[in-house]
Amino acid sequence: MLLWLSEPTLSASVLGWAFHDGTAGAGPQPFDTQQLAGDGPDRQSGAGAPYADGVAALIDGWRVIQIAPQRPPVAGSEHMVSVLPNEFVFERMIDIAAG
Amino acid sequence: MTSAAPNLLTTDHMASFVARGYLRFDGVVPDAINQKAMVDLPVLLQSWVKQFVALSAGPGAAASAATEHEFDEAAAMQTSNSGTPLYEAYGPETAFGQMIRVPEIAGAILSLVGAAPVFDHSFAHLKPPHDVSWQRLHCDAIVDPNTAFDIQLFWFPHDIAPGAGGTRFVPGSHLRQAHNDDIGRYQHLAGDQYFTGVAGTVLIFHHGLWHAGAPNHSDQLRVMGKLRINPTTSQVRLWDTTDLDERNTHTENLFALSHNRTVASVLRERQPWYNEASYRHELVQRSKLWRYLSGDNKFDVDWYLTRQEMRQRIESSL
Repeated sequence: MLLWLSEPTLSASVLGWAFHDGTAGAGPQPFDTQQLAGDGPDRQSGAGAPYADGVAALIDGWRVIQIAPQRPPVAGSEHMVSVLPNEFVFERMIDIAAG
Repeated sequence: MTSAAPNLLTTDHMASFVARGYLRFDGVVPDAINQKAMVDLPVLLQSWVKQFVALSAGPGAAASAATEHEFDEAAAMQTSNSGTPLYEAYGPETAFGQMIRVPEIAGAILSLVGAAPVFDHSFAHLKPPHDVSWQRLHCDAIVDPNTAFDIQLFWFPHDIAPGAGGTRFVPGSHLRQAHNDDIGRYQHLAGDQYFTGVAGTVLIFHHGLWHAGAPNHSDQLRVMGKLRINPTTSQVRLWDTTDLDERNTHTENLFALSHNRTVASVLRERQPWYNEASYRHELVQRSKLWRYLSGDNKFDVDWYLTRQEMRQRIESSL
């Protein structure tokens, strides 16, 4: 699961999210994955964020495995806007046999 | 160009375009033109696919394919070489040609890309019923550092209900420097939209706006015609600028003194997916784009550019 947060700290709120199911649907789903996968017919704009912030994901059993590094602005491009800066990658291990 | 006088955009339209990266014209294309598009656009796609397949197979196959499909000639009439003057590329006998002559659309084109725009390319995007695949988020062409901009028209010639394949797009993403599908990992962004609306609605995007094809859960084929248009002349003050001077303040600053109805007040629109630090840079980028459009190189929102430029002048004078 990837979360993009409003600040470079886990307690910041969720601005964007993505989910990839490593069990290909075989395991219990941690949350409404149809909604997260983007193909829910009733999905409305911005609805369905899995967690309010990064800490809420930790509390629910997710482990942080990568945080976007912080880099100083590039000279000459200090005001450029581009991709979302505060990217956090999480994983959660699920025992498929246990259902 | 058009039979009826084009309806120029207002200062509010233009400022909103700079802030959000798109404008929306609901149901402006008459039903007869929409019905023509429902016939012509699938044929246009067929023609392009056959051309592409033939070219991929080599020169000999291309020549053969060109003689095999007589009906393609009718469809080919709807396309032109890139760089063709827009209203020559699309005569009034074509669906696209009729759409771009609707006064609201013609006025928007005139206001955004001037009186001499050229055809870049067009495409018919068809999404079959119950095709629930979803395209990754992307922006078209390649990363583009220019301030001058193209526009892209997204024309929906039939009603699009929620979940029926309306294009996903991300308001306020147009000024982000991103290359094509490098943004494909963003499955969801707070505030992104999936188009829904009535037949004859046209979205006009800044070329940089992030978007993606969406799943179609309906029983109906989703048809959408897309047309990219390039400016060839200045894009400065082409809209109805009657109220521009009084609203085009230089000293507007939310942290000092600010006012309603100024251009700056429109440009401050924040998107739910922005982090605060990037939002401030968004304001800088919007100010630069507004300087370009208004021809006013002192324009600013919240003093971000002005304070730095004042100190740059001090340094350069030493």
